[in-house]
Amino acid sequence: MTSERKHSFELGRLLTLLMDGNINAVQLSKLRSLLAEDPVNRQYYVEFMVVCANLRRYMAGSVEQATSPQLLASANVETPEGSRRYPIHPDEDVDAEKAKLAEPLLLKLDSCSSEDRPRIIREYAEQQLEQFLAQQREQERQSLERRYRQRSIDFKAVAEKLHRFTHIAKRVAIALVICSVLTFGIVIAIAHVRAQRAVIATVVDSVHAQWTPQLQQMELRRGRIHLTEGFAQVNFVSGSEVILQAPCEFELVSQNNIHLENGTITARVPKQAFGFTVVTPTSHIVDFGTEFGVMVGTANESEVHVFQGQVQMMCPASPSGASRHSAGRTKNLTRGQAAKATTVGEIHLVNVSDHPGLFVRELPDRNRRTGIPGRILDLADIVGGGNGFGTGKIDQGIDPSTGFLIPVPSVGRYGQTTGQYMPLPAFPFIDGVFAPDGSEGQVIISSTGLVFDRCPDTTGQYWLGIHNGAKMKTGDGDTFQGQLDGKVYGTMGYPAINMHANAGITFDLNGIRSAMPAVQLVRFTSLCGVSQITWIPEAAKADFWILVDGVVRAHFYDMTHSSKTARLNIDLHEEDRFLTLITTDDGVSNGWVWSLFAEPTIELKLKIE
Amino acid sequence: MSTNEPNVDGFSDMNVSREFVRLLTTNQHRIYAYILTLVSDWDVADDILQDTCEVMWSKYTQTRPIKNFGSWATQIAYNKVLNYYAKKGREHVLFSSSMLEDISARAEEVSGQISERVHALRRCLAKLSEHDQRLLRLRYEYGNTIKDIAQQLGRPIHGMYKTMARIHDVLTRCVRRRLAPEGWL
Repeated sequence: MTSERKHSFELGRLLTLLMDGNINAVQLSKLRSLLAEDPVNRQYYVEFMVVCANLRRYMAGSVEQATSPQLLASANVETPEGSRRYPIHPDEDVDAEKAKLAEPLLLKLDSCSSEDRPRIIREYAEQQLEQFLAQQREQERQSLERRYRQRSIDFKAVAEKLHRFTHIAKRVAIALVICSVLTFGIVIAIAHVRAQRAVIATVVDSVHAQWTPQLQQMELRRGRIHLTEGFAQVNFVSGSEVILQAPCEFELVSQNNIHLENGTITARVPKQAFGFTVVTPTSHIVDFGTEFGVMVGTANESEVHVFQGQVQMMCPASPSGASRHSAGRTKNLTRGQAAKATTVGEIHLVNVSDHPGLFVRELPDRNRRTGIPGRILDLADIVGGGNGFGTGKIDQGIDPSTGFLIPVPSVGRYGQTTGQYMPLPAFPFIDGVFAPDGSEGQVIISSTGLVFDRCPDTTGQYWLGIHNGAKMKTGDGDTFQGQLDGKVYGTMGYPAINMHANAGITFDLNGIRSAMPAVQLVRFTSLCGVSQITWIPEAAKADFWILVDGVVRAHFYDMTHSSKTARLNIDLHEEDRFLTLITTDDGVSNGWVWSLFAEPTIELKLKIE
Repeated sequence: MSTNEPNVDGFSDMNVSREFVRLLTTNQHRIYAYILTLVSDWDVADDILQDTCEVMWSKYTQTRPIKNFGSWATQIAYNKVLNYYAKKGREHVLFSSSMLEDISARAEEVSGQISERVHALRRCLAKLSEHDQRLLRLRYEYGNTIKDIAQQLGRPIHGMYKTMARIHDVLTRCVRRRLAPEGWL
């Protein structure tokens, strides 16, 4: 390093501390001396500060936000629609040119209708382009003429003889200039196309993935992509790995930037790719080398969960100019934290432990038959604390009288109804649970107070709880795996909800819609029956009830282990909000009614815009 | 107000406002860079810019037409900066009075080339490594302090200041080189 560079570097170090508000008294005194002793240092200081000011302007466009709205208001000038300043694009022209060019356009726009505005703006842009090209042509012409005149003076003596040749030379010169302009244009165009066509990321794996438009190759370039079904893992050139869960619409912007319009993704970012940014309609999520999930649901609200490391969530400054700084509200989140950015630019912390299974962190088994994003939602997985696509735990469940999360115990035991409905606000897709008994009075089956008025009198007892799986435990600790039609259930491939009578669970269909705004819920399908096990000592009976918004849509009664398995196929409509599954006993005996909803799913269909 | 100006229906007022906003839009970055250079503090510069703009607007109708809007604006900004230093006291001030005048003259000249400097800066930025560009984004686009960035990346704070100083130094010298007359340097 030369002494001049060393000198400027030291000055730059002190200025960096100064501008970060972190300079101490000794450093400040040193900086003062450096500036006082040498005008070269003062010149460097000034240029350094202007670089800082321009960086802020160039990268954040904050000065406009700090002045224009207030000033426009005080000057009593209407702020034109869409006049919000965004970060300045590298290709943006200088302000003076913009102001000059915009003047006649503003006058025209004042006197036209809103329908005509796009046309006028387009015509104006074309006109400006034409003018610019005409100016360029005129400049070229004048330049050539000047050069020709100079040349003609130099060769005055032989001008006549060379007249013919100079005429040709002029033409050749013009051709050369045109060629060089064209070449320059082509080089620029090629560079632009190259930037557009550079591979940003690669699809390295997928499970049941369907894309719109259909992917022709696994290398992804800049542009919008829609994963309509399934999962896919996309590895960015920067080293970041992203798991996409359908339906998911996004735009790949660069090797370190993705715009997520809706859907759910999980990103694993190595240290060297820090700064990886997920832009959502309401926030920017900047990574510092970590693993995190982002979900954009209805109303464009976005939620981030941090699994490892640290991220920064930022709501961009509001267009009203309320924030005087480039960054709007910002929150740093560390491992185990989650937050939601609202459409009004607020960030709220969310309790991540309430719904830990919201994001898929590994691609699921490609042989699974249910829980396929964009196609089939697995309700058993939701009971196990998952998102309906394989993040739930087998043999995890909920106690219907307390609402507590419980695993299948090592020894089976009874529970007794409290006659209360237990809302589960922490579960985004489950409204609540209960243990039904008509003799206890009204049986509430939703957080909105819907009543199951046909509920029979039951023993009021239940066994184990409501679980994702089919594991059955006797009071002696013996374990059996539930079966229907000779098929063993309660596995990832063949999921089931195990709800020994008397138990009820209500799913929140609107909660599901909120998390997946791009799909519609088409129908509920399932098998149901009492598990077939040969050693059952008595023919216990159970009723199966399926209600939508409190209305009984299916009822199978007096089912025993020898009854035929029932098949459910219930259409759902856009206005349906609650789906309730209930099992009840005959009010006499609660023994051995191992009731299963096997392969309980909601069929999904992509909404057509 | 002269009687032959049709201010009654507000038409002329609106035109004056438009003219002012246009001039301000053209010059505000220059003014901001000038103020920041004199106060070396982001928040203070924001406040002084705001105050300057308000004074400019209140005086504009009486002063127009203004030959050199940029110079007029920096003069108002300079007075605002003097007011700020008068209130702040000398304790933490970086410049003496004479030095402030010198810096002001240099800042006016340098900020007067703001468009050329932004243009040059764009090209200099493109030459930085991806890593350095990302650090600048964290600093300026997302508004983090350098200390925050160091903590979030788990890097030593001292080292991050050195890195940032290096990046700013490279950019400052690069912009200077690009604006220098041919053959200089």
